[in-house]
Amino acid sequence: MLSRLWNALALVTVVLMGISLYCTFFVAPVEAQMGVVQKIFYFHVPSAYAMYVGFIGAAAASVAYLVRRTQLWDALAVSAAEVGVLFCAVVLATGPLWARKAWGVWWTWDPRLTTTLLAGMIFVAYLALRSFGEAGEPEKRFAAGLAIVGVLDLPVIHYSVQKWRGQHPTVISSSGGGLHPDMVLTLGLAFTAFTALVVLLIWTRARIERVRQRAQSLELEAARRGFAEEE
Amino acid sequence: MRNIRDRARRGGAVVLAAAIFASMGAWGAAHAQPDGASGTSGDAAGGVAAPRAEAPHGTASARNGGEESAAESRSQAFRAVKGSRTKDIPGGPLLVAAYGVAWVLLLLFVLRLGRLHTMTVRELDRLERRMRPTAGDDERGPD
Repeated sequence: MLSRLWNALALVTVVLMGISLYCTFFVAPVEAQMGVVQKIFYFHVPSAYAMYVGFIGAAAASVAYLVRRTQLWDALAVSAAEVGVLFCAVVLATGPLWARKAWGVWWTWDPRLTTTLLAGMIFVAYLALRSFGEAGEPEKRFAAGLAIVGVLDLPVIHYSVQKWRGQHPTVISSSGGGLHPDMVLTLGLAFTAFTALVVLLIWTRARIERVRQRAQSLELEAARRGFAEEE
Repeated sequence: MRNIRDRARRGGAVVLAAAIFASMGAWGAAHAQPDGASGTSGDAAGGVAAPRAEAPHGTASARNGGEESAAESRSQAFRAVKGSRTKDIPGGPLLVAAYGVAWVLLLLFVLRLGRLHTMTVRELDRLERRMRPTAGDDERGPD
């Protein structure tokens, strides 16, 4: 049943990503001021959203792990954090390429850029902590705490532009100037496609993590029962 | 074993789909409309680019006047550009690079998932073999 659902989600994701790419290049108009480079917008912004989903998912699963102490929540937390870091890397890689054309610089210490980098670094630290050998119970608990601290940076990223008047565009916020209807359609499709993609990636990673956890417990069981290591 | 093969096949399909999207993205970026719109003028020292106010359509005499004054200006003095000229930065290669980077990162992550999956399945197989009761276990037996 779950396997079928996974297949269906994978198929939906592939189709949605295809439609989203088509709309990005053939439906959405070229922006008047920046030209064709503005099309980075259609995966830069959904990637940022996918990063939010990953990091919030990691923090929520970490809270659940600290409360329930079940391995399922731990697997979900580490999976969501990994996927969040992946999309954070996409955001931080594509943003400067857009900024080069729009602002004339690759990077500037704008509040939103800086806080996004900070969130990425916190969750990279989380993954580094988890990757030190086989994470034991104390490491897992400490990492869960770090994920909860890391997610506190997300509201700062979101409201930084409004509070500190950075350079980052705010076209889709309440204070923004709006978008052309075809741009809205393309962006909406991209958001839908990235939602499916982020769920698919977290799910796939979590399934693998569950198998790893099973292998670890089998390893412990084998050692406890005294089965010899094979040559 | 069949299960592992099915999973490997499914992983291969995901990688293939991702590769197709990467090619579509690159192709789309390469065939997108040329960057004909005006750029923005920016200050390299860290200022956000303010849109350049340009009048694209003027009268012929105004255009001629503008050309003459520009020609006169060129003949009398050379002036340095203030800040970076974002207008001159080509957007197409940046767009292709951005799509390329995004898809490469995604592909690398999918490949990593595949590798992790294969390693885990191999580890499980090893453990199962290790814990499988053998003919001599009755005599030997675990501790």
